[in-house]
Amino acid sequence: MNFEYPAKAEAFRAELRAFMKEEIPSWWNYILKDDERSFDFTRNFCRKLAARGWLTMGWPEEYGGTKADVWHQNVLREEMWAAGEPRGQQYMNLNFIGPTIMAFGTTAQKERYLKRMVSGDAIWCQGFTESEAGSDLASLQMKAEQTESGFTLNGRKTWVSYATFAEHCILLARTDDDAPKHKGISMFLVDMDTPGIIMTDMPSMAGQTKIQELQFENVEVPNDSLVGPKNQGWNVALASLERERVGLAYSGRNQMQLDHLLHYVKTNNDGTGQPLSNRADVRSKIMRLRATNRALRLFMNKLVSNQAEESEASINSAIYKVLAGDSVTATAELAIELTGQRGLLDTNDPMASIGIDAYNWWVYGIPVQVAAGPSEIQRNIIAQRGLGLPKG
Amino acid sequence: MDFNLTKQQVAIRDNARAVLQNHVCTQKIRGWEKTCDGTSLELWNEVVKNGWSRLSLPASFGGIGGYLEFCVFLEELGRSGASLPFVSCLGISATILEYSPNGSFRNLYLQEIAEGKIIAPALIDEKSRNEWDTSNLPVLFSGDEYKLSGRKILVPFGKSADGFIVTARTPDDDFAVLVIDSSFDGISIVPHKTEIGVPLFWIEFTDVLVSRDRIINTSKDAEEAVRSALRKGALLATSEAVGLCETIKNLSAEYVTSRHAFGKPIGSFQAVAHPCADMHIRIETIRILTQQAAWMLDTGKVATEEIESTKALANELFERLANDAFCMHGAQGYAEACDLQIFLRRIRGFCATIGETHESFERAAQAINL
Repeated sequence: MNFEYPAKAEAFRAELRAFMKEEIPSWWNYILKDDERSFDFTRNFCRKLAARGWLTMGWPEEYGGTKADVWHQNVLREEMWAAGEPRGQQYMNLNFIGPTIMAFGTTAQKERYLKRMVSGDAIWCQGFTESEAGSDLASLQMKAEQTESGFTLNGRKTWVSYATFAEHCILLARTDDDAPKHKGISMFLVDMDTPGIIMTDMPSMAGQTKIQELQFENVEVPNDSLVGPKNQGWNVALASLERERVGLAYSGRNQMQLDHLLHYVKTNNDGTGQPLSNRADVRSKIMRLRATNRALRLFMNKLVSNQAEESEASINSAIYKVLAGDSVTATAELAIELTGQRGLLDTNDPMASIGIDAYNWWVYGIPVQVAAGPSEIQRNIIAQRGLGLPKG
Repeated sequence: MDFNLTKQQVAIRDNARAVLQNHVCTQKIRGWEKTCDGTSLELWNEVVKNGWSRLSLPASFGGIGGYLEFCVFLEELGRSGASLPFVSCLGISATILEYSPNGSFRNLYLQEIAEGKIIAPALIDEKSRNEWDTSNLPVLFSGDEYKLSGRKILVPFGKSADGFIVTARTPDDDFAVLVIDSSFDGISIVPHKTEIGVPLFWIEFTDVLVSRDRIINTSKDAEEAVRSALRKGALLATSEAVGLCETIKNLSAEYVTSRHAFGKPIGSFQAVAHPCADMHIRIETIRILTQQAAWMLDTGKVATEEIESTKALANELFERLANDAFCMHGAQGYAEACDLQIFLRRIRGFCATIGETHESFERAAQAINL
């Protein structure tokens, strides 16, 4: 056993941090935060990463990567998450959309889509979820009917992030109504300017314009928009989702927040004029979260290690996801508890100058419990695949 | 980064599992608990024969590994449910001895431990709450010797012990560590009435005469030796508890798969399945944290925060785990005939031993200057 990152990966971390210090403006906060400057900033930031060969560093050389090892890749993810993911939407390209196209795409699809991802120019969105198909994704209803020239798409996709900027959407639709639900699904790569796609904002706790609903009304797409074999989309999607989870380095941001909290309790007093850090409950709560976050990071590293050894990782991935949801939420809740009512103010409020963005940590943190596979589903996976319990 | 056990660690795990499976069963454990030793010296001798009592000792005493290897072994011990003095003797007493500047007694007793003798830590005064409290047991002058009178309580495996590490206070009001044999005149060993599965005793010292060189450490060095020993004890106890919880999880998974209610196995209800999944998550969380802390010790790093906060978190998570296991067994879990209760009582003991939750978090906080 060895719990240290390779020295070269740590050296890369130092280099990356220096670069980020120069490139990330002070107003930048977090990927989910509504800010009209975000799109231009994140795209330019990705182009700069690309120029250094860092954006797609983990990809094979034939697709424009530098074959960086998994530890270098994870350093990149940790540092990006710690900084609120300044790659914007493009982390999805690197983590799973690009690799899905590499694994299942045709030569023409690879040629068309991957190059623009490598240069940091491509913006994608993902259309998997529907209003009646979330955790039970395979029950999705969007239809793709075969025509002479391709497919006609009809249906709705919900909770689509980045759709307002996206040039393409990777989506799942039903291509065989008669087959069992997992066996009648196909995956498509759709241009967002195709006629018939209607976009509506889905206002949420993250803001008014961050998330969209996409309605597809007789959207005609060509045959070569199909990625992977027809009716095999479920297997393609499973491979994608597995990749998606490994790519989320929650502990990096959590650690940054805990470091801020540590500083905050040392430098702020409670009502009796004593530093908050003198309070026994505060000390225990911070130490508990430092321990759980250390476990979270170790699990992420274990997943990365599984990836390096290309071994089976689904149970560990489920544990990681549950721990992440719990840990991110608990950190944000403690931040609000410690900062008191001022912690509820937005950082732009003139009275909020406490250095802790507690409410936003919470409002952007709680989706971790439900995004990329909710905690209850992860517990089902652990109970059934890990412990052999019977299915309900 | 490498999360795999080495070949040597895998061999320790596999051998320990095989030997313990061969010699331990829950029926035997029930019997051992009722003996005056509260454990099986026969089993102890068997594990000594396999060299496991030397695992964490310095190489000059036959030590073959480090804390990671010891943790791997202790997890197997915990899994079996057998109660043996590894944490108390190898973890705590041996570490206190290692810190002693008194070469002759240090070497003598470490050698005895290596050969399978049991040296029990007698750290808790009659009026103290736990091992971490300082000692006020007075050591008085008596001619050329010292004289010890008073009580130590909650001494694990006291009846089987060949000797004791005793914390006390010298006539100069200095904190001191003594090493004495259980055969000395004036020592009586009385079993506590407790059901936690680890045999505990109180020791009455009545004018026990001790040569002056048996004070093997004093002052700040002695305090540091005890603290360091307790920290290592906490780490090792946590590994053993990981093994105990593995068995609790396995017993629970078996039970909820075979027990039917409303026409279905109860494990198919998510209200039951999810606490089972949480057991798995809690065990994996504590296992990976203890492995990291053990690795830190083995590579010469300071691991105070890591060990202390892992013990505290383990107390919290394993308390909940044990309670969930109990609830999903229903009334069955309360029956003496159910194996689960053996492990539940052990976990109850673990959570209050060598590091209570709040105190452990506090020591972790101090370690990072919070």
